[in-house]
Amino acid sequence: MVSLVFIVLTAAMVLVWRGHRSGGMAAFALAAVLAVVWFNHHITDPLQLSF
Amino acid sequence: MVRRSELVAVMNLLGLLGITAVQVAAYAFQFAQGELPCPLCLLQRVAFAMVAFGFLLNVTHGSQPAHYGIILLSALFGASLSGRQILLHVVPGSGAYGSAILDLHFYTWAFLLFVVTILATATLLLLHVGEIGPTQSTPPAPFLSLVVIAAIVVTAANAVTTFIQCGPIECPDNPVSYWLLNVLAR
Repeated sequence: MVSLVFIVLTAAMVLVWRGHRSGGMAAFALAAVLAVVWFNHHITDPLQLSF
Repeated sequence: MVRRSELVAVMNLLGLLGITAVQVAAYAFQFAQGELPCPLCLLQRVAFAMVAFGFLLNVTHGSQPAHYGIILLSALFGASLSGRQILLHVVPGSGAYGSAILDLHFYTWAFLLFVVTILATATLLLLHVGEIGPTQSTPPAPFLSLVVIAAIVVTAANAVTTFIQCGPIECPDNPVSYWLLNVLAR
């Protein structure tokens, strides 16, 4: 559910905009972890490379 | 004469504006050409939003090393994503995803933009010689507020359209329709 990453990132931006920097940073860290998990999930296909 | 700190503040604001414009352009092509973003394409949009978050921190809370770190790590993440997609299609005959603009596909443009972001951030850090550290937040001028709100709205819009496209499940590798529209049509 990639939309969840965008939701958390939106929350992080709003928190920072409203002056809650540490809360925004925590939300960003969560979004970054979720994004890396999805990245790892989507790069399992082997690359068709030959040299 | 423009002070170096003012120049850095303006460049950070332009960085936020530029990344937001890239995301708006991606939307324009998505709806104008009817091309749905693939899972890796969506993650590249996530990376652009992460870069925007770093610039947003700089324009609202002043330039700090941690903020530049966020921008650089996010841009490297985006370059990894787009580089991976380039490798998927680099072999002749392996096809491509989506249409091309000036002979380059979206993921190639994304890779170039992430590299440009890294170079621009390195340049900004060079301008900080001897003065980097927490700085006073700039007052929210109308233009600054407008750019920040635009960045937040675009990220929120991505959350909505990604849910409409993929729903609460995994996005298909080659999406051809919107998940929510299919559900409503049943």
